[in-house]
Amino acid sequence: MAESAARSTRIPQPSSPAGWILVGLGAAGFAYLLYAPVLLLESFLRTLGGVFMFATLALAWNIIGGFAGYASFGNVVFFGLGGYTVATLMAKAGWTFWPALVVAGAVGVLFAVLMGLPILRLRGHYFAIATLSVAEGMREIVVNMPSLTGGGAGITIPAVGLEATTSYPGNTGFYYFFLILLLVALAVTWRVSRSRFGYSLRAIHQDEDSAAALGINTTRAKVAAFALSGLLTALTGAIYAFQQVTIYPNRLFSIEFTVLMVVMAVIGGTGTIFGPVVGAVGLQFLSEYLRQNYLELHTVLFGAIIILAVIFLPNGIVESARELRSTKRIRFLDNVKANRL
Amino acid sequence: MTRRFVILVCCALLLAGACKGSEGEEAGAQGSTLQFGAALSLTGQLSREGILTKDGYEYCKQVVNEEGGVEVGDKTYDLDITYQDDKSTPDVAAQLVDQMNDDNVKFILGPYGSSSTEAASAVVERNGQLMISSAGADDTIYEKGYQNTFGVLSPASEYLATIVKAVSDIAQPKPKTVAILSADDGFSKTAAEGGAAQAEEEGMEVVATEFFAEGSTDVSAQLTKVKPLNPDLILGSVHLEEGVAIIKQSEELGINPAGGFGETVAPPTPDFIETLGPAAEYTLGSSQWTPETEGEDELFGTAEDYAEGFEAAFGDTPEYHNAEATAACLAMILAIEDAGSLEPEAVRESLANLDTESFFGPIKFDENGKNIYKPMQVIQIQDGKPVTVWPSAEGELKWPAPPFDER
Repeated sequence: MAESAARSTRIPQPSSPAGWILVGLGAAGFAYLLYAPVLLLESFLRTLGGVFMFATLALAWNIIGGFAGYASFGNVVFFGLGGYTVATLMAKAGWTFWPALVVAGAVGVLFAVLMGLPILRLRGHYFAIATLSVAEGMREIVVNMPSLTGGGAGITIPAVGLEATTSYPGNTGFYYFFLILLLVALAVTWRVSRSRFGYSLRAIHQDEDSAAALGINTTRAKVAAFALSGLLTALTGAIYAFQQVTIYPNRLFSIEFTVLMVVMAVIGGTGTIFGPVVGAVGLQFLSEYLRQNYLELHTVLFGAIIILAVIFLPNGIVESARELRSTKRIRFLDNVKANRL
Repeated sequence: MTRRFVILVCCALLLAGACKGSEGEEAGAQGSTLQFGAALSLTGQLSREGILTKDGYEYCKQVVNEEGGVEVGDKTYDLDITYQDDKSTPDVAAQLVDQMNDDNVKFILGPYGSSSTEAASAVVERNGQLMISSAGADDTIYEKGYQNTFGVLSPASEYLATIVKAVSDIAQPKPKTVAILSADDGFSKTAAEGGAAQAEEEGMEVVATEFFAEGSTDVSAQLTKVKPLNPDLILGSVHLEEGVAIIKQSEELGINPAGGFGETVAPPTPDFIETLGPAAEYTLGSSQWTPETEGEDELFGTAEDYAEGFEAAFGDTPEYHNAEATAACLAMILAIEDAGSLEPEAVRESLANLDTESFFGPIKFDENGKNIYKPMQVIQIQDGKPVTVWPSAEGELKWPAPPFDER
């Protein structure tokens, strides 16, 4: 897994013809995304904003779960904390959105460091369970602090009328917010994957004890990865909270978000740069399509497709596509043949 | 290669997406069809209630079309309703209502539940759509200064207050002390506050107000606190599972108030009676609607006519979720016919001035869009059935309730 992850970062240089085509396509795609609000329906922008949001969440998860191999099942805690930081600062302290967003990011980092120091010592299932319970615990805390957070009744950010501290950006505004954040997350992932830090994380993923023996400060690397993941996730949560206006602890700390970020990263390809984005784009559009066309069966179909995807593409879409290209083989079919299923 | 593939996929998906179309068709109408939209919880936690709401809307559509459709000025339209599933999550409900706006659907029938309604109401306001909520009871939805959201149902603050009014009106002896147990979600809290205010107004003393987390199945800590205070009446501002827990654990802890128990939405549901058996007896509950509700209208007749018609169409006796959904749809149709126009602004005006009787009771909105003019019904569980005891009586109130071990 880690070996393939290392390969996946080999990207054609712009000096080769293929590289130039890629750069051109990328620039065209980017220009299209920037110009999209002029062409597309408002509500479709909202859908796209949601896609970008999940892509960012999956990328953030990928840093700790994909590169470092620490499967966090509690990343939603940063999402919720970011959202609640913005909501309480705007609703209770009368802050405007931008400084609140900065504080939300800082809260994400701080919490990741404080939580990471003890629980990143756990490995495997123990780590997954610990992160899961931190998220659940945080939801309970938010529910039980009604004077600050509004408790189970939720909290409403003043977004319209005279009380609004920052005018509501609307669907187009949030589209750009999420797009910019996604680009930041991509840049961060790119940078991480080619840096010494990224190689440390992959070494930890492969064999933590050996990595330590090689002189990597594993605790520092893991905590840094967790903090980076927490930062991006908290910023996403902060923007999401402002978009929703009224937020509830059950939604902001919903396990559904954690599951989706993990599934998107895994189906797209963990430890790769574009895998989580491909997973998020694919699954979000699939879920939209199913919801619009199969009114009552869509969740069942969605679940079935995820199961099939995991069986057919155990290494994720990005990795499987590369494998198909280089070996002209599909591993699943080989498995079927070998086992005479 | 991989990256090129990725980018191509992204571009294809984006291009495949909806592009801005030409506008110009009349709001909400395609040819001779009048289009309403509803984002409902058809899957997820609230799917049962969501489906009941959908059936209520469907029954409205069926009756309206049987009666010749909707008359707008000199044109007649068939009614059609598009449904989308919000997966029981408010953010999806908001997104769906936004999508409907882009499809030129301006008339929205509310989602199920206060959270989804609250999220949708913000979008409706921004887009200049019009929404009639059928199941968003929380008063806070209507207190944001929104102009385009109306609710046909009695607001949350009435749910517990109604029980207090009924008890104060017909119970002998009248209880002197009340303890209130409430879930901590917005709707339940608002209902609890309304109940406490009403109790004080009626001269009762509220000896305790205790909260627990929404969805709790263990409320023994709160009950233990209340027990030594010996309240005459224990009121629960709850949903089904918490409502069941209060009765079940009171029985276990031997808590027998001199008067009895009252709970907001749990008792009228069949599950409440089934789960609790004899312990459910004598519990009071409040309901938006029962077949004994007073009032009638031209489309659906009386509440009893509605119940018969609905049963003939769907095979089930209607629950109040069905009725409130039909009532929301009815209000929208009456307002459109009154306005004689499909312009949302004109229909909004006529909704604000709507003042009518219906199978659901009076429909009239205050300046916030709440239907505060409709009384709620109070039921009591008698012989395993909910019996309406107030304000119009199907049966007599049995009071006080005997202790659990004598039932």
